[in-house]
Amino acid sequence: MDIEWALVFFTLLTCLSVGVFAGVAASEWKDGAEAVRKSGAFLALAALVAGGLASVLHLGHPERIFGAFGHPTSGIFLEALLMGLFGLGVVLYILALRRKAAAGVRKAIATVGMLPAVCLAFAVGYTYVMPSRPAWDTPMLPFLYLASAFVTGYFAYAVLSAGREGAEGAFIRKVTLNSLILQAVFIAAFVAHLATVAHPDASRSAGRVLAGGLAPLFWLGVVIVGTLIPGWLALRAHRDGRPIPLAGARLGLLCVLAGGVAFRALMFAVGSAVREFF
Amino acid sequence: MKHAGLKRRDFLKATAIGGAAVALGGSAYVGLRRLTTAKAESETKVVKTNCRACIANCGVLAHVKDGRVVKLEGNPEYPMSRGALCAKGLSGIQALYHPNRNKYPMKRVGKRGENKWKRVSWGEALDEIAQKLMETRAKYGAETVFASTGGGGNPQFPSISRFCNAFGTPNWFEPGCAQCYLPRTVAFALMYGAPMGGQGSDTSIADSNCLEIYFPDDTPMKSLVLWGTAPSSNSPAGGGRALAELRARGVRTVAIDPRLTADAAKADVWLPIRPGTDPALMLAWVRYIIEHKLYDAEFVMKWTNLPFLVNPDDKMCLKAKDVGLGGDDRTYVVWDKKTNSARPMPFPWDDRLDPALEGAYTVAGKECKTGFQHLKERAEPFTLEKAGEICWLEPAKIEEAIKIYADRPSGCSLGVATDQNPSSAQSAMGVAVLELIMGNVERPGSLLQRFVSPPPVADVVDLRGLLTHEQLLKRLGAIEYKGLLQWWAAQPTAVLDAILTGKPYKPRVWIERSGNKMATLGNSSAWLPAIEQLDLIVHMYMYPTSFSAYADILLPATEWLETDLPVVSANMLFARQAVTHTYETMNETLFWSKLAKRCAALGHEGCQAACDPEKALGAAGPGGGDPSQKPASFPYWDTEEEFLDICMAKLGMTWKEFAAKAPFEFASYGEWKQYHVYKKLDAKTGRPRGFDTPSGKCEVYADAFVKLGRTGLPFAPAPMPPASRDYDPLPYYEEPFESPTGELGKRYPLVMTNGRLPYYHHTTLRNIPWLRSIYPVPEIWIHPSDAEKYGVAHEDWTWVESQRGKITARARVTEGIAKGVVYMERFWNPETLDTPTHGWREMNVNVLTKNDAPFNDVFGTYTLRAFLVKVSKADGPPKGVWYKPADFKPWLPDLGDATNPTRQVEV
Amino acid sequence: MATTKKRYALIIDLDRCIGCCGCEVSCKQENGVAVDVVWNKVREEGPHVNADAGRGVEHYFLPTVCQQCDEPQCVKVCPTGASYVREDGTVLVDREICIGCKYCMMACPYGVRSFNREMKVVEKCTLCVQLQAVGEPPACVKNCVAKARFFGDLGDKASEAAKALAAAGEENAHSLPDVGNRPRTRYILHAKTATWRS
Repeated sequence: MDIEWALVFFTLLTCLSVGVFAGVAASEWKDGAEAVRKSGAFLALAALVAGGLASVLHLGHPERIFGAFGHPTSGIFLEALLMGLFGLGVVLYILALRRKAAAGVRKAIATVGMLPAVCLAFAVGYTYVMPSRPAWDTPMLPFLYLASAFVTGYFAYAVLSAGREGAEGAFIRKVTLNSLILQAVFIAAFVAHLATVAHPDASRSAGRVLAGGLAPLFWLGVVIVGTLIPGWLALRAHRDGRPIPLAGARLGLLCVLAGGVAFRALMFAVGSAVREFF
Repeated sequence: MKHAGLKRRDFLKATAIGGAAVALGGSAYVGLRRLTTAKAESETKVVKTNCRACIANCGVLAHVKDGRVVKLEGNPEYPMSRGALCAKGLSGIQALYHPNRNKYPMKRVGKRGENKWKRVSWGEALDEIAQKLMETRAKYGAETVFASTGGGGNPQFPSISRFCNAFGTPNWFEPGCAQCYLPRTVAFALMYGAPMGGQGSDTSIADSNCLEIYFPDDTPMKSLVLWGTAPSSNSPAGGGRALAELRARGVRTVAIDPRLTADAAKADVWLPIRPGTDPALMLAWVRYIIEHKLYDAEFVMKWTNLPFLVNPDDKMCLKAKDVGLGGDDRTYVVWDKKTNSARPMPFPWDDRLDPALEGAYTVAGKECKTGFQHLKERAEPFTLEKAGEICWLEPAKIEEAIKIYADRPSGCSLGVATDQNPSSAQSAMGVAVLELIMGNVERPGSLLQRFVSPPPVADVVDLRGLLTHEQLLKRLGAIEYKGLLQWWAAQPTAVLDAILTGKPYKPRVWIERSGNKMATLGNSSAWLPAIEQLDLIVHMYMYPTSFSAYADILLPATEWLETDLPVVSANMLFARQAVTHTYETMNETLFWSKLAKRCAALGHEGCQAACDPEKALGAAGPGGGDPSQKPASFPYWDTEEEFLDICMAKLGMTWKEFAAKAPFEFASYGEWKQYHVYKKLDAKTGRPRGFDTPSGKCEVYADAFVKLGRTGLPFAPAPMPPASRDYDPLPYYEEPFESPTGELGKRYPLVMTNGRLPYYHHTTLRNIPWLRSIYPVPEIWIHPSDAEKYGVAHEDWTWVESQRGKITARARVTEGIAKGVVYMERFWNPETLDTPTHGWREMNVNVLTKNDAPFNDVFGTYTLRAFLVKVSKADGPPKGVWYKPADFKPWLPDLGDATNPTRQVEV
Repeated sequence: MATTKKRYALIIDLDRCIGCCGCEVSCKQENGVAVDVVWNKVREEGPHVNADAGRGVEHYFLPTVCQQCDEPQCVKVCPTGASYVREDGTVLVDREICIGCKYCMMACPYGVRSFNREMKVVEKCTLCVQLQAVGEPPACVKNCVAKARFFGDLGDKASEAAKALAAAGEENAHSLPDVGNRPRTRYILHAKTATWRS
C-alpha cells in the first residue's frame, strides 16, 4: 500500500516521546541529573503534541474526531485514550518539577506515567496487527514499536544529557544497547515472518525486502543507518563506560530516527491486503 | 438497533447522493443528475433510443431531466442486447457533454496545423465549401473532389456515397472497407448470393449478422468457430452477451486468434495462429474435411456448384448451352456416372443424373475438372502438419478444432482480422467455402440465414445512377480492385498516390466525415505530404481529432444522443431518437443534403437532379448482388424531419408517429425466423428459390470472382476494362510479404497484429474519462519468452518500430499471445492535440502499418496486421501523455448553459 | 443486532463474465464515483499455462467489489461508526461522520474501499441502495452484458442470487480468502473454464 507519511511521523514521534519520558523515569530512579529530566519532560511533551498533530493531519475530517468518543472499542480510541493519559502524566510531571515537588512524588508520577506510555508505544504498533494485512499480522510489530520507543528515546536523552550526565548514564547506555539489540531481533523476526506469511504475495515477500525493490530501504535505512551505526555508537559508549559525546549522540539520534522512518515506510510498503484489488 | 430506521441516512449519506456532493465539480453528479433530493427523480423522463457508440445499435433507455441526459441504461426490449449496455454505450453522456465538443462551424485563421480558428455560421461554412467545390469541378473535374468516412463516431455511411454520386465524383473511401468487412460481404454475396446488408448475409457477428445466436434457447447450434473475431470485445452487449449464453448452454467454441481474447479464454480450443496465414489453415480444414468426408455430401451435391465441370480455358463453370447441351442460363454441365457422359444439370436438380463430384472428364475435347476436384487439388498440399508449420500451431489442436466444427449444426464466424492484410479475399472465400461445404446454410443452428428482411427504412438510399460510367472509370483503384465496386468506393492508397504524383489526376479537395484519419489510415505519416498539397480540407466530427489540426473548416456533428434514425434489430424496428441537442451540431444526413442543394443552386446538374423528385427516384443502384432489390431513391431534403418522414413513408407513417410507436415487430418472431429459404417454392417458376447467384446454387467454386475481375459485374452497371490479372475462383495461400522467416525478419523479428477492445470502437472515445481510466494507454502484448529476449518487462514503456516508424506502448507480458507475435490496438492521444504531434505520433500503431503494395488482388487491401516490428525498452511515456486516472479530470462533462437543448440549427 | 438476518450480496458468475468493464462504468454513472476512484473493478486471473486445458492456458476475469462480509472488519475498526451494517446486512459508509482515518481501508482484506480525495472520506460499493429503494437491482447487475451478476438476499432461496448459487452447486462456488471476515460474495467458476486461483 501507499506509505502513510502522517502515520509514520505520528508513530515515530509518539515512540520518541514515550522513550524520552522513559529516560526521565529512569533518571528519577537513578537520581540522575535534574536539568536533563526537565528538558526530557518538555521534549516528551513536545514530541507527543507533534505526534498528535501528525495523526490529525492524517485524518480527512479532524473536526469530526469527537465522533470517535462514542466507540471505545476501536484502536484509534485506545490510542487517543492512552495519549491523553500519558500526556496528562507528562504534564503532571512537569508541574511537579516546576512546583519543586518531593522526589517521591515525582518518581511516583513518572512511574505511573510510564504505564500508559509503554501501553501507547505498544498500542501504536498493535493497531496495525490485523489479518487483512498478512505482513502486519504478527506480535513482532507492537514489540518493534516498543523497542523503537526506547531506542529513539534514549538517543534523544543522550543528546539532552551530553556534558551534563548524572548517575543515570550507565543504566541508560545499557538499556539503549539492549533496546537496539532487541529491536534488531524483532526486525529479523519480522522479516522471518514475511518469509512464512499466510497468503504469500510478491508485494510482501522477504525477497522483496532483502533483495528486491525494497532492499536499499531495508539494508541502508533499517540495517546500516537504523541499527549498525547507532549500535556501534551505543556499543562503544557502553564498553568504554563513558557518555556518548554530543556529536555522536546527535548522529545516533538522527540515525535511529531515520531508521525509524525507514522501518515504518517499509512496513507500509509490504502492508498489502490479502488481495489488493483496487 | 442503532441504525434501524435510518432510511434517509442510508440513501443520502451512504451513497453519493449527499448534499455535500453537489459542490464538487464533475464527480458531484450521479450520472449527471444534480442530486439534491430523491423527489427530483420523479421528474425524470425516460426516452427509448438506440446507442451508436459502435456499429451495433443496442437499445437504450435515456433518462432526461430538464432537457439534459442524466443517466443511460440498457433497454430490455432490444432483442440483441436485452437490456445490457457496455462501457462504450454507457459513456454516451461523457461523450455528449464533453467540454471539447465541436460546438460551432469553425474556420482556420492561422497556418495549417497551427490550430487557430474563428467561429463562422453554418451558412458561411456551407457557402464557402460549395463554392470551392464548384470552382474545383470547373477547373479540374468533379473527380478531384473526394470524401471519406469510417466506422466510429455515429456515421451514416450511405450519405457520403450518395453525395459523391450527385456531385459526380467517383472518389470516396474508408480506411475500413477493403480493410474491414468488404472482403466478406463480397465473398458471401458472390458465393452464397447474400444481399448486402441482409441480416444473415455473412458470418460477421460484429456487423450484426448471425441472428441465430441471439436466441440461445431456440437454437440447436452445437458448435461455433470464432475466426479472427472477438464478440466480447467488438460487441459486448450483443455478440459477447449472446456467446456467453450459448456457452452456458453447452455450445462448444473454437477461437482462432493470435491473442487470448475473452472469447478465446473461454473457448474449448484456442488456436493462436500466426497473423496473415489464415488461408493456409482454412485450406487445411478443407483438406481434412474432404479427406474425412465430414462435409454435407447431399448439400454439396445438390445445392452447390461443386459437381459442375469447369472450362479450363476461361476458368468458368461450363454452361450446357455453351457445349451444345441446351438448357437455360442456370443449366450447367455435370459428368453423369450412370451414363458416363457429360449431361446438362438443370436448376435445381435432375433426379435421373448421378453426377461425379470428383475427377476430370473430357467434354468437347477439353479436359474439364469438377469444381470439387479443383477445390480438392487446391487444398491438397495443406496437411495438418503443413498448416501447423506455416501457422505456428500444433497439428493435434487443429484437428481437435476441426472436429468441434464438424459437430453440426455449427457455424464459422469470420471477423475483421483477415480483412486487415492482403489475404483478405482468400480468407473470406476460405470461410465461405467451409460454411457452404458443411451445409451450414439456412438450417436451424447455422449462421447464414435469410430471415424475413425488414422494410428498407433504415438508410439513406444511394444515387448511383447519377454517376456516369465515364466518371466511374476514373475511380482511383477501381479497375484493378473491382471488389471495391460493391461498396462503390475508391482505394485509399490510390487516392494518396494520385495526390502525390498527380497521376492519373490530382485530387484537390477532401471532405472527411469521420474520426481521426491519422489514427485509422495505414502508415498515416505518408499522408502528411499529401495533406499539404490539398486546396481545401473539411472535417466534420463531434470533437476535434488529430486530423482536424490539418483541416481548413471544422463542422460540428451530432452525437448519437442527438440523432434520429430508424434502427432494425432481428424482427423489430426501433427509433434512435434525439434525446437532446447541444450547441450547433448537425446530423450528417442534413449536412450533405444542404451541401448538395447549395451546389445545385450554383448550377450543378447532378445535384439538381438529386434534388428533383422524378430524377432522383430511379437513380438508385442495386443494393448488392441482386439487381431485383434495387430500391426507389428520393430527392434531397431541407430538414431532418423531412428526411425521416421520407424514410417512414414506406411504413405509411410519419417519423413522429413511428417514434411514438417504436419499438415494434415488423414480423412476428415465428414468421421472421424462416429457415431453408432456398427450398421454398417460387410461385412464378414452381421451382425452389435457390440462392441469389447466377446458378441459383451456392457457388463454392467462385467463378464469379473471375468474372468480376474481367468486367466488374455484377457490381458495375456496365462492363469495365479487366484487372491486370484474373482473380482466382478459389482461396489460395501466399506467405505474408513481411515474413518473419525472410531477410527482414532478422531486423524486425516480431509479427504485429491488432484487435478490438471492449472499451473503444475504432479510434473513438479516447477522450472519455471513464474509459481512459480503465485503459489509459495502448498495451503491447508480448510473450514472456520474447519479452525476455528483447529486454522488456511487464508494464515497461516500450519502443515499437517498423520500417515505417517508431512509437511507444506499454508492455503487457502475457502467455495470452502467440510466441513471435505482438499485439496492439489503434490509439491516439487527444491530450496532446495542441502539441506538434497533434496526438497521433506517440502511440498510434498506424504509424507502423503498411499501406503500399502488395495489395490484395481483389480489394486492394493493404497491411494493417501481419507486418514486422521490433521492440525495445523505452525510458518512459511520451511527453504529455496522460495515463493516471486523475489526469482525465479536464475532460469531465461541461454542463455550461450552451448544452441546454436548442432547436434545430437555422442555416 | 438485527432480528431477521438478511444477507444481501452479489453472486458473480466467472464462467460468464467477459471482462467488458461495463460494470465499472455503470457504477461510476449511477453513484457519481470520481474519475480517480473505483468501487468496482474487473481484474484478471491469468493466463496461466495449463497443458491439460484445450486452450493451453487458463484465464478468467474477476470483478472485484466490496464483498459484504458477515464479519466486516472495516466496521469493527471504525472509530466513529461511520462504517456500519444496515438492517438488511449491507455494509455501508456514512460520509457525514467518517473522519477519513482510512483504518477501515487497512482492515479490508481485499483493498476494495477507496478514499475520496475531494470529500476526504472513505467510500465503497453500496449495492446501490438508492436503486434498491425503488425496486431495482444495483446498476452493475442491471447493465451486466453477460448476465454474470446476480443480486439478492442469500438467506432467501427465491432470490436471484440464491438461485444462481444453488444452480451452480457448492463445488463451483468460491470465495475470496477468508481471514475471519466471512465474505458473503460468492464467485461461480466451473473447472472447465479455469481453476479457481483467487
